[in-house]
Amino acid sequence: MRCNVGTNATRRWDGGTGTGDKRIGCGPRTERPGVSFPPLSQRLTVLVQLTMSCTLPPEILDLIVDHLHNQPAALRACCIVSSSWVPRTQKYLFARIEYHALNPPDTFERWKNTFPDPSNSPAHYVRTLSFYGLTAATATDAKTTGSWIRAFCRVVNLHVNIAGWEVTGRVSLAQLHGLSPNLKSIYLAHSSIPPSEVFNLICSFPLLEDLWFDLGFDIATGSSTGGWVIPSTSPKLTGSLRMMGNIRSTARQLCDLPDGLRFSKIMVWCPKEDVESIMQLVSRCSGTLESLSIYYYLSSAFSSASDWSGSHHCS
Amino acid sequence: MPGTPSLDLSKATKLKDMVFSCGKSDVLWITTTIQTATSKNLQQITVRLRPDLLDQIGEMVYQELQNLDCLLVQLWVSRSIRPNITYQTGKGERNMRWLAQGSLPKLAGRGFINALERR
Repeated sequence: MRCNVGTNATRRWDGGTGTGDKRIGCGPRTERPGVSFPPLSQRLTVLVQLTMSCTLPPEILDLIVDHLHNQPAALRACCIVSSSWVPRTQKYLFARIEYHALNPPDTFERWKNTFPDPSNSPAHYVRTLSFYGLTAATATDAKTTGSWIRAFCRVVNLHVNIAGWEVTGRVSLAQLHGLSPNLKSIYLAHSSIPPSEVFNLICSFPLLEDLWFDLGFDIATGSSTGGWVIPSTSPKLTGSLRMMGNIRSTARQLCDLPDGLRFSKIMVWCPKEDVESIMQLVSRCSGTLESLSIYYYLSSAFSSASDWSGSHHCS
Repeated sequence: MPGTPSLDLSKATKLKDMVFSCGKSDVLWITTTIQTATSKNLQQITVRLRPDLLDQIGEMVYQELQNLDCLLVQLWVSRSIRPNITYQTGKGERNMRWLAQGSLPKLAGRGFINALERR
């Protein structure tokens, strides 16, 4: 067994197994006169040292870690292999982050304590950011929390579920404005935030494509629209629109957006009384609409929520 | 939905697929809405039968279902728009299958009625 030890980039095996066997690309071992080989134990030590030191090209390491993208346990193990593995594993370990406001202690506070410096926290690896209850995340310390929110500058999907949490305090979406310039998709579940606040948030993301509203079944949902100054520009909204619940006021505001609607897919699950809203939406998107799904629910059939989940299967 | 105007899909020229949930008061509305769709890209129309169809549908709804049956088969034959009628498995599955096959006989005969597994 022989080993050429050179620079990291050129270090490679070029010998046989020491037993005289032949392998592809490896010639038979030949004893050179005057050359003495170190004892086996010493050669094994060199082998172990070589194995422990990371000599694979970074592209190969990336491929290995990419292959493990959906195995968090393996990624955590990779994270402690070498400092050079940390960034490429964090890319997947922190790709999806969820904050639960009511899980004691508040997970957002835990994040801040774990990564005290926003500038070098793994927040920039996050692609999908979810808030379950926004009150604790934004209302406690607005100034410092704002800088923390800004650290999530590469988020592509934003999920905000504050349905039911509004009663615990005034919820503000303002600190999420412009969170990430690359944001493509928003899921928003709420039941009483004024549509003006919702649409100010939406209009702060110029590349936004997909919208998903879960608006609850309360007839009073978002009825207050007074005083909203329509922004001068709105996102391109070329992806999918999903709306669930009492959609009337939200649909009306969507139709008022200055740059129009260009959704290619519309999926609506609403009371029958809201058919006019669907007609408006379809009319606004008639030039781009490719897929339309309409699920009416009966007032006595809220339990048929499985119809909604089944809709993904259908279309 | 008696008295509810149908959706006008005549300007949706890129429409490829449509999905409707169908209760006993929606059949006529779905039929008239489908009739407005003129997109040449239309490939599939899915109608998901809701369990409330099992309540005493009466002669009128039965006739509306027959009309829907004719329309969807006609679209399949003339424009190759694939119909897909589904109902959920589980409680009432047998009655729903019987209803679907009885009121949509042409679609049933062509194998376009399928049970949808509840997830």
